[in-house]
Amino acid sequence: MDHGPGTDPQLPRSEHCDQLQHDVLAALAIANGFSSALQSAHGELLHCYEDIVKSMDNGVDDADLDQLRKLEQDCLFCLSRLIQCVEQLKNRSDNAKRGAVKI
Amino acid sequence: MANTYDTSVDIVIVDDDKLTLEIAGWILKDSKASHKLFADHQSAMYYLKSATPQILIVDYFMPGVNGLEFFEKLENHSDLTDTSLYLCSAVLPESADLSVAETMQIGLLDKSVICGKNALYALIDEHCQRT
Repeated sequence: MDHGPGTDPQLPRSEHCDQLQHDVLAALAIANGFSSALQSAHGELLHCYEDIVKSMDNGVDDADLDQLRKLEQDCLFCLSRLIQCVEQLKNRSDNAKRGAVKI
Repeated sequence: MANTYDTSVDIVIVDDDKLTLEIAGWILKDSKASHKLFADHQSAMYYLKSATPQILIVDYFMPGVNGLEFFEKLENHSDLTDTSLYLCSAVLPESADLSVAETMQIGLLDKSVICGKNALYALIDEHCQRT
């Protein structure tokens, strides 16, 4: 389970509380970043795909296909990280709830 | 948003959160900025003793050392005169001694800046326009 990257049980209580809050907000910021990156990569993928379909009658260029595969890999990378971010966010949110109860 | 700067910029980011480094690295790979990312503050300190990046961004909450302590230690070993320094955090604790940040002219950055393309590019642009 992720307890937050910098979580330090030796911290003073108020700072520990700040850290719990920080971990949740940081996870949100990262998730938001990967979400935007996925949106952008998917937009490029769609654009590339449409270009290939439009020019299909003249044959498909290997370079275009390579670009399509690269963009698909980009999308998969962002999606996999987004899934990790959501899991991280859930764990940190649970930690924050437990920390809030203790304090 | 495309980066508008023409010159090459080198950036170092120190953050113990692997996913933060991955999104920052993802954003910077398409920019003209060269970048080094460190999840471990000791490795970063070792590197920074002999290298002076133009932009240095350090996370506040790290195990063993906070971002401000990291900057203070680094100042004893490195010439940071030409480096734009930033302390990054989603939340800054009230106990953080921000006088250190003021003395060392360390800017405060919200975590979302290094996780978002537009914001990170804007930061680099701002640095380039200043220098």
